[in-house]
Amino acid sequence: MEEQKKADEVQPEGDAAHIAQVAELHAKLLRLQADMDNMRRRHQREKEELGYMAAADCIYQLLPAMDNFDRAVKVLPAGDWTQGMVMVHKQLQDILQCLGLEPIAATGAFDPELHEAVAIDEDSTDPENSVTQELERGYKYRNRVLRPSKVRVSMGGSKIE
Amino acid sequence: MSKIIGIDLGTTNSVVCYLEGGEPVVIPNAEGSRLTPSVVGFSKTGELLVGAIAKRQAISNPDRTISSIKRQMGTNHKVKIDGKEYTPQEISAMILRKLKQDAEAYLGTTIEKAIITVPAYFTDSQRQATKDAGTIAGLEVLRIINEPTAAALAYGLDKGQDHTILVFDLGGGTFDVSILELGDGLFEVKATSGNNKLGGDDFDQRLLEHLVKEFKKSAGVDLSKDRVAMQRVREAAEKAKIELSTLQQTAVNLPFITMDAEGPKHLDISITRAKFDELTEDLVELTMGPARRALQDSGLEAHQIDKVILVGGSTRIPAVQEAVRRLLGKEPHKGVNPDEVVGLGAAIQGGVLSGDVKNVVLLDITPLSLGIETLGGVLTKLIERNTTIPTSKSQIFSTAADHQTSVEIHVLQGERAMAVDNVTLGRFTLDGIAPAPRGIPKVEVTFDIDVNGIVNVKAKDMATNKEQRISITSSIGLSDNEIDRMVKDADKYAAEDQKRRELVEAKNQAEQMAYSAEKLLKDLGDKVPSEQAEAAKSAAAETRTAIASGDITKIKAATEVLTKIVDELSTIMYNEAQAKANSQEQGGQDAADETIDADFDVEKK
Repeated sequence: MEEQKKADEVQPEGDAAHIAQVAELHAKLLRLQADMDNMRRRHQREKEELGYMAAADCIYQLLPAMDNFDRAVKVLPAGDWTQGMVMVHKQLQDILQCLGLEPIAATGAFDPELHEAVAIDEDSTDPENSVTQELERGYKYRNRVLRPSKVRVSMGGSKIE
Repeated sequence: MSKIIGIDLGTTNSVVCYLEGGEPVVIPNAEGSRLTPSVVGFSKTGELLVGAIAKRQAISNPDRTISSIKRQMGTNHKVKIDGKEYTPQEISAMILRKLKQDAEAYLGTTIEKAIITVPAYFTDSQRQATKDAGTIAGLEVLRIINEPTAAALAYGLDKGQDHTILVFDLGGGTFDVSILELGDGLFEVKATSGNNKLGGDDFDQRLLEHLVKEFKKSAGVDLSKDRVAMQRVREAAEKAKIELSTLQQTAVNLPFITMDAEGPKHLDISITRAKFDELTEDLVELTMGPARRALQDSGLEAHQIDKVILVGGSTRIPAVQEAVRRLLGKEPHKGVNPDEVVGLGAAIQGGVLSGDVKNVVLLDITPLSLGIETLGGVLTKLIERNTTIPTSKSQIFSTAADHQTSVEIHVLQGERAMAVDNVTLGRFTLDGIAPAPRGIPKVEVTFDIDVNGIVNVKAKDMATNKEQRISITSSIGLSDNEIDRMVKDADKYAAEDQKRRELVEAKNQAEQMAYSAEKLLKDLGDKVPSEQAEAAKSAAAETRTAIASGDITKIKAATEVLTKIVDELSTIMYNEAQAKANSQEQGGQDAADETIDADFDVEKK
């Protein structure tokens, strides 16, 4: 505000202070414009990101229920009741898959990008640093890791052979 | 000029921030998180892992995973991996480099300069080591600042008079108390104390033990030997702790937690906040000792502390806040995320050094909405409150009566629905409007607020280009208290105002409909069967009676009846117009009448 008033008071021609001030203000304006431009671009990106995040968060919140369903299906005794539940479980899996959720494979080499080591197997005969057991399924959502798999990792008992 | 980032290089987590348009903002990392675990790992294939990924492989790769390196800063400690030795500076640099790279990717620009925070008790050699870590990471460390100072900056406590501030920082695994004194805009650390083995993790552990004990009591199974089950319980305990910060009670639900000969067992235990407080009472008490010591060392009494700031996620625990309140007898500052407050403050310090903060033109906002009075005494807002100025906004209005040749522009400020409940800033009249049926003239009203807060209001007749204007300088001359009261009043009377506004709108609509009916009858003349004309007349009269009664249900009912009749009359008019395809004047005029309905009517003079 102050600067603006000053700018109004001085004569336009031949005043070095004035010219310097205009240059400074001009530089400031350019920087602001650049900031604005960058912000606009980032906001565009963030808007796209937001759509992803909203869906991803919603699905993420559902995963614990899915995990428990997985656990239940594993231990239910055989029978018609169980078969029905297994079918509902499968249906839920299919729906989530259609929405873009895909389970992470928990086999082969341990990969911290995809897996989280929760426990180790000291005397597993599997090769060192490979996944020996999946404890909780991990998921990718639209090609990004939504939740890593919780796994047990072999400490390389096979080396002893 | 490159941006300066602010980094909170924490023991468990780190945060990176920068200044955007004068406001500090957290930069999410490549994984999309605002917090980056301060963990470094070397995979078995020799790959360097930093952050969440390093943390995930810590259990299977403990010898090659380094966490809490901050505790070793400034010591001769060495980390040995594959026969190569790393100093704590080098390990910290790996964390800093990730933060730098992620910030560069996010901002789309290179970053060379940073402010890094350290605990207030850090010695010169610890500070130097932190600075070296920055240099190794390719950052020019402009300054190392104290974490409590950064927190105070984030709360804007560097402005204002001199005072003493107590910063209470309870993080994931460390606890620090600092007492700062502000003089001449500079912070001086008067005393520090703490416990570097106390934090949120301890609270989780207490809940975990409780859950295991309760489960053993009810189900007879000891979960503590089952690593997999314990992992689930640990996560559930942390979640329950977080929930108990806002809820009085929560339930921990872990179906199929284990199996025995009889079948699956489920853990289902509810925990009240009171129970949680009881379980963690001694932990909270452990924070009080260092707090008292810091007070004693600073030579101050509790009542001499002017401000209290809470830092660290664990200060969200209500019992912790209560203990701080009891000890100091004052309400702690809240509002800035305690996990991020230090990083945000570091970014502000960066802004101060680069001159950004000083140079930022502090853009003002309009504290109250601005608008004009329209038909029925309603305030029509043109500029909403909290709009950043300078700004300008235009809207087209019309007349409320036939052959109206002037309109009065009544400029108002406030949040209430009805004009009379707001503050009048000024009035002026625009005359010389060509006589025309109501709704036909177009008057453009423009509000313009310049950078100095001066409001210019202009009204222009679109037909003649004749205009009138007013300049109001005192618009923002209200005191903060007055503004506050006006905003609060608007909330208080919101329901009542809404009713009044609805009534006015119903009246306006009814009035418009009655007018349309009468106009159509006049224009159509004997083309309307006399029976229908009579019905229309009586419906219009009934609508006017309803308007006079001020009963919104009556008005709406009468309007509804009348609307049907007007539709019928309009159809006759339309058919007439089609029949005489050559003459378009009348039809055109009526069409215009219809379209303007939505924004019409400056108050009739």
